Amino acid sequence: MKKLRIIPLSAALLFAAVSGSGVAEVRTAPTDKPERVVKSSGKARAPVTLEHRLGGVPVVGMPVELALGITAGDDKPVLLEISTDENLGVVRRERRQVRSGDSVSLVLVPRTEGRFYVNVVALMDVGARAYSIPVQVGKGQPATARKVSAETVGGERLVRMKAE
Amino acid sequence: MDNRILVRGHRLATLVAIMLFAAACGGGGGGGGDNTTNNDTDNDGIVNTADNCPTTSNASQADNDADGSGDACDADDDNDGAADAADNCPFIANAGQEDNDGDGSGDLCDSDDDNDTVADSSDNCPLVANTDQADSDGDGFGDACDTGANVVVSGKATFDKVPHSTSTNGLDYISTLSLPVRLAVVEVIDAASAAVLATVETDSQGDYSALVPTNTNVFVRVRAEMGRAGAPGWDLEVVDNTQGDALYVLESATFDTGNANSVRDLHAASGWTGAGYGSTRAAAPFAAMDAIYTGMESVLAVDPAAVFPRLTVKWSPDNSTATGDESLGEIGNTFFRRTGFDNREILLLGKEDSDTDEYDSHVVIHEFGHYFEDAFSRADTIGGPHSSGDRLDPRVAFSEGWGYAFAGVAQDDPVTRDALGFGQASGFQIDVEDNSNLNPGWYSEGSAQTIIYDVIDSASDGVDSVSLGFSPVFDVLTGNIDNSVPPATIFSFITLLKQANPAAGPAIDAIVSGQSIDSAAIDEYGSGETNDAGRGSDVLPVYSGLVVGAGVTNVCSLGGDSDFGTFNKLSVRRFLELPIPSTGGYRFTASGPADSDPDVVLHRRGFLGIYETIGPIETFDVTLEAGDYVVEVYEFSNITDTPRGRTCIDVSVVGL
Repeated sequence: MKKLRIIPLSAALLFAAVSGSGVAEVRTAPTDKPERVVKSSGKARAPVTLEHRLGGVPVVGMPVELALGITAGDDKPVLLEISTDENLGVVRRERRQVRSGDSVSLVLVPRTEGRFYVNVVALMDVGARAYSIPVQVGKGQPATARKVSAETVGGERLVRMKAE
Repeated sequence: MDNRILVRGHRLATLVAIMLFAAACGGGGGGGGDNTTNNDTDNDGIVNTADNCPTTSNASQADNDADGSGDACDADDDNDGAADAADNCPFIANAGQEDNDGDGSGDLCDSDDDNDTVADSSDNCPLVANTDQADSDGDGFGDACDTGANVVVSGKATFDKVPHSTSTNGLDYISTLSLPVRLAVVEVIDAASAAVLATVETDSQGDYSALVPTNTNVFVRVRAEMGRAGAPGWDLEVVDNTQGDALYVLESATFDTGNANSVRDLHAASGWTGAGYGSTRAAAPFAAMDAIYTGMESVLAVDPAAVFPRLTVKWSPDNSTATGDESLGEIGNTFFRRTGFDNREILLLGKEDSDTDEYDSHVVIHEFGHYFEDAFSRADTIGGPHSSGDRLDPRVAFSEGWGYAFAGVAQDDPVTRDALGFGQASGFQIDVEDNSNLNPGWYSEGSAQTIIYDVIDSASDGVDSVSLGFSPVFDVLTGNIDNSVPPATIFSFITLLKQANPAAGPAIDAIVSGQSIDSAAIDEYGSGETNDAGRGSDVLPVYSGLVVGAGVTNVCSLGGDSDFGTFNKLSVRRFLELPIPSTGGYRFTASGPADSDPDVVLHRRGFLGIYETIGPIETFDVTLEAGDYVVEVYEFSNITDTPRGRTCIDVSVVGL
């Protein structure tokens, strides 16, 4: 939902106070580049869209369906590489060839609470696109792939990795 | 102090005075202050509103400390608190004014700190005069300063660089290389007290050398950080966004320095154990840092004194394409962003079996190219998703094309390879030397990357017979385009490049025309362009005319599957060229159908302001300087996932 009005910060610093005669008394202030967030598009991706829908609230021990719908820019085959975290009950590493309009169904059986991911990579002849679909089970903490935890050393947060 | 921020004379932005009337003004008044009408008081060719010394002539606009006040009128050119007249290093910050030899030249800018005629860089006692450089024990420390209580710990820092398979574009772990960690900060730490005993940096071969006390238990720490003050200068670090932006460091085992010099090499391994990342991915932060430095080298090659504003690279093995909480790694994609005035970041994907980018050096440098746009040139892109063959907003097409072309130039390799999938074994490539782009034109990132790369590279292929090198392109991006009124697009780039390199004009035209852009006819606004993307309407002219008091100009915003797409696709946002005849107040009105919601953005040498109240009529009053402006108009829903579709909008401007 957009804001009713977004005024650039710099412009907000450059407002005019209106005198009784209706003539603007202009006040200026040092201005910087407008504090608009600059964000690049990110890297290029294949023209494929993956929509997903969970069949229910994921609960430990209860099967839940994850439906994936594929929309591609053309009717050429799309190779999906699907992998799921082992805590989602099935260690999947499988490939499926689909086309635009197809759907894929996965059944997850969460083993523990946490935030886990289903990873789907769509490979096309004109590029590829990766999707990571978060699956929140209960209120558990997110799974992490990191093997070194940060620590505070001399007031500085460091991820200390051992050299070979 | 004027209203500009400069980095080594490269203007980050010029925001001309735009003064909003209070909404309650009712249109009254129009003159505003007199500060907007005095064009160039010091006659140096830079208008006052853009001049970092409005009353002192300084055509170069040099500004050593990037404080927005030019050197010619700045009483403290290095912002160290010591006025230039009394500063022993006026252009290098040294608040302490240290001057070892008392020669009046501060140590930080004195190449011979002990006045013994031996330059510090080769002096075996840089702070003790010893012209004879006697070193009877040959330990590298001159007798004059050798206490016998120090030894040298030296070594090489390296990291695993996993290359790409040229057949699959995936990562080829079997062919992993060991590359030097270049220009990284290295510390020798006292293992007992955690005190930093020495801080040095690696050289271009990854070698470091530090003087440390004898018989002390220490370890060596290589920081994923590059820092250098002055010009050239940089400030780069790689942190873990999922661990409170903790800095990645590589540490040796603890060892006793003993009584003799010793060597401690450090290697950051990829962590790949054959079927997956079975151990710490220590090489990843250093691979990303090395790619960034490769990009910096290209800039330094044409501007040896370039100063790179702070850049933070955020990488984690948990960084995935999920969009949500970045502290969980849900970053959505690899991308560059600036928040606030100077918080520049590149976020990199790192999730195994999904998408990792730390070894995709072209991808990293592509994003560094966006950093370059923002810090050195113009970043007019609006972002958003993009794919090969998309017909894009010309700002996005140019920015993305620039990124891929720059990545190719920086590595002298036109092929971007992006690895992903199971074991990072799959991938795809983007070859900027491939001229056969799908849907070529001024709205194509493929066309933009082909054109930019071809005007730079030394290879002649197809219609490419020009080899300007990077320097002329750098000059256009950091000078001409940065000062150009319309947003940066292939039109402004080509027009200004040809103006600066007239002899190459015909050859440039050949490359550009090869991408279905009417190079010989266009100007910065794309006037004369005839490629309408095959639509016939609602695409050309690229910039419609808008004249104060001359009635309405009707433009149509497209959106949806039947058009080119939403948000950042072609003709979602339409552009109008607006000359403001005199400084004063103006009322803008954009009016669409009853169920529409037109919005307006003003530009002049960059973004000025956005006006987006809800409803079919957008109207606002502003005071503007005389000069040329660009008005961007669009139907709001067309930049969302629920587009209204083709929406025609009447735009008008009247004086107040």
